[in-house]
Amino acid sequence: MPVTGELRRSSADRVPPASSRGNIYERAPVSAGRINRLRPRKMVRWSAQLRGGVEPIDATVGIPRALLYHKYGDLWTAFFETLGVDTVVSPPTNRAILERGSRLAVDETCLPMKIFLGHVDSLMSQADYVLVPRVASLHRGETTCVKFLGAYDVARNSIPDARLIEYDVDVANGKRHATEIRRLGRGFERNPAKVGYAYMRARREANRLHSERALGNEQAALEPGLKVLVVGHPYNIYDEMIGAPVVSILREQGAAVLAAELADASRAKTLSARLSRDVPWTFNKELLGAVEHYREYVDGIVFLVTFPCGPDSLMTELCVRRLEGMPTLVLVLDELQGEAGLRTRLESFVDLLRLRRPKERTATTARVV
Amino acid sequence: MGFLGVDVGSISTKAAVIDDAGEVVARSYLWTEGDPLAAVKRVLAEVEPQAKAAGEDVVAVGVTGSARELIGAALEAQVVKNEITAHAMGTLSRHPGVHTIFEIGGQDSKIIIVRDGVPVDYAMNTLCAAGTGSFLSAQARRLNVPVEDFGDYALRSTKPTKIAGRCTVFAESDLVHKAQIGHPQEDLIAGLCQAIVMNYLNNVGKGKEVRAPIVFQGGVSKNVGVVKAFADITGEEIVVDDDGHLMGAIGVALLAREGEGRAEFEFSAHDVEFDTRGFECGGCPNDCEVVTLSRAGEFLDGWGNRCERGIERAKADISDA
Repeated sequence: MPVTGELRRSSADRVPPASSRGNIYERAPVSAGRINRLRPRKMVRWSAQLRGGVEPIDATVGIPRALLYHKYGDLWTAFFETLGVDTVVSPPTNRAILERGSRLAVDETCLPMKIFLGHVDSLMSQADYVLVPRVASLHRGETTCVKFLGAYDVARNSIPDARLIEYDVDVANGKRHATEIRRLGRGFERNPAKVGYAYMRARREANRLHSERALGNEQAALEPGLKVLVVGHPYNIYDEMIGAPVVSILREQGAAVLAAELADASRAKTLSARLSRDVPWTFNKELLGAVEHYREYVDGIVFLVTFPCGPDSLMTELCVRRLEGMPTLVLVLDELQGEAGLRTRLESFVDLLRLRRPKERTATTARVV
Repeated sequence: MGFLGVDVGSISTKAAVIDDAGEVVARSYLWTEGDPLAAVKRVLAEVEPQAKAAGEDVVAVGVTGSARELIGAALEAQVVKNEITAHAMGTLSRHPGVHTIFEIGGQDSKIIIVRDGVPVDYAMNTLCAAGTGSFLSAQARRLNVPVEDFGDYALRSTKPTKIAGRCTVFAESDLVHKAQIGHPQEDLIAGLCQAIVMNYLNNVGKGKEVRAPIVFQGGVSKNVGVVKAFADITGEEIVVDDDGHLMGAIGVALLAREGEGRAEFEFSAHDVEFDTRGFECGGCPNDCEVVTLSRAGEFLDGWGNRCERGIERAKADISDA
């Protein structure tokens, strides 16, 4: 499949003939979800044209609030916004999305993937295209979990009517994120300089937001109160159905919550060697290093794992075994989880951390995550 | 002054009243039978005369166990605490030198590691109830032996049968198979006790340093067969407290004593009808299952909601009814 500046669709046979093109941009009225219309309409004039097309694209790109959204969401929204393309982000995961995703997915699929499919499905009526990148590797000599590689194809086959746009990232084979996302942008904007500018602006914006959060995390680590490090993928920690209850119960109990995910990635990667040198998965390697980075500062560590996650099950066991003397709590969540069991475990974990402290200092309220 | 602790578990409901010195002056232990509110009424009726006889007025109430939210609201408890902390507190008050607490209840099992009088680590069974009291009861029914007699049967065995205890379903088919090929009942029952202990040590106790003194508690600790299996497999002496099944109630009563809240507790005031209702909120796609507790049409408490809307609807729901 050629990759040059053409708007890639889910499959060639679903591209409507040029004569009917007027219709594909007519979309159902947008009723829910957050819509970014940050750029005034008249400024869209220079933007968004299909290669060979004559009309400006008045398309809306849907972004599922799942999986890589929690890593690249800021970048994506800022990128499309600068290109003058409307974006709509699916709402925080709710039960309807989870149930829809579970029905669409094969049984053995992991919980985040089911949630992801639910999000893609929920965008069908609101967006003309849904963005689903393929990520095979982000660094040389490392891989990502196969679900990031397969997300596009899984979505395409599970939801045949979905109109997906994608870009491939496979650094091991020379496909860098920066290059590939710009290639996707060329489908909306012919002028490469404008696409380049949009990427740069988006990168800057995403970096700024990330450093703010990371700084908050680092500062919270230095506060005196009871602190719990939550180790889990961003798509688990920040998910409304998975991580949000965990974080809110911990805070209710007066613990400050630190996210391992926010530790500086390159430093974390260096530190990860102290616990293990043989981790192939980029995200897990970063989390492993983050554990090493924060362990001195926190009272206990909660591992947030979704069922059935291969990399996490291995890494969690490894961490727990190597963190001698550190109280750890492993939470494995699936879609059947009731909140009662979760609450009992988290409450008693915080009680235990409090009893271990020589003298309880006043608990600070959590400031991060 | 007396302090009431109530532990409402999935299978049994326990209540204890302690005095200022922490001594138990009243105790009760009954089956929950799927109706925690009724069970609590019954334990209160049992505890009341004992507390009165000891001359203790209850001034604070603590509630623990899996129905703690419901019962905590109904009794207007000062302390509502999770069962792990409550159990650790209760056991430490009786056995200050303990290093390991084994606890097997009706539907959950846990291990609490204590060092220098402070709980430092714990683990709880995950999704599966294999190796808990309800598993034993189910197998007892299959063998047509009252679960109370299980221990005596197990002690009579000299060669316990090996039974796959990893999963209730497989254990059952394995048990049937072993019975069909002629293993005697005592050996089967002793084998079941060993299977429970192996399962417990391999799942709940995985990676934990089991160091003596060991206290074993929870409903299953009343089963001498399981106690013997624990002693055989760990090679340590296993301490079983006479009040072992009450540790949660004692612990939460102690927590109520340490707490600030004080309010005269009238036993008679709680002998009224409570009404619980469950409904699906439907206010948003989350469709939370909200449960509400009311007394004579008056809203007391509600839970299960992710946002305030659920409670608003619950209140409206009750005033409509």
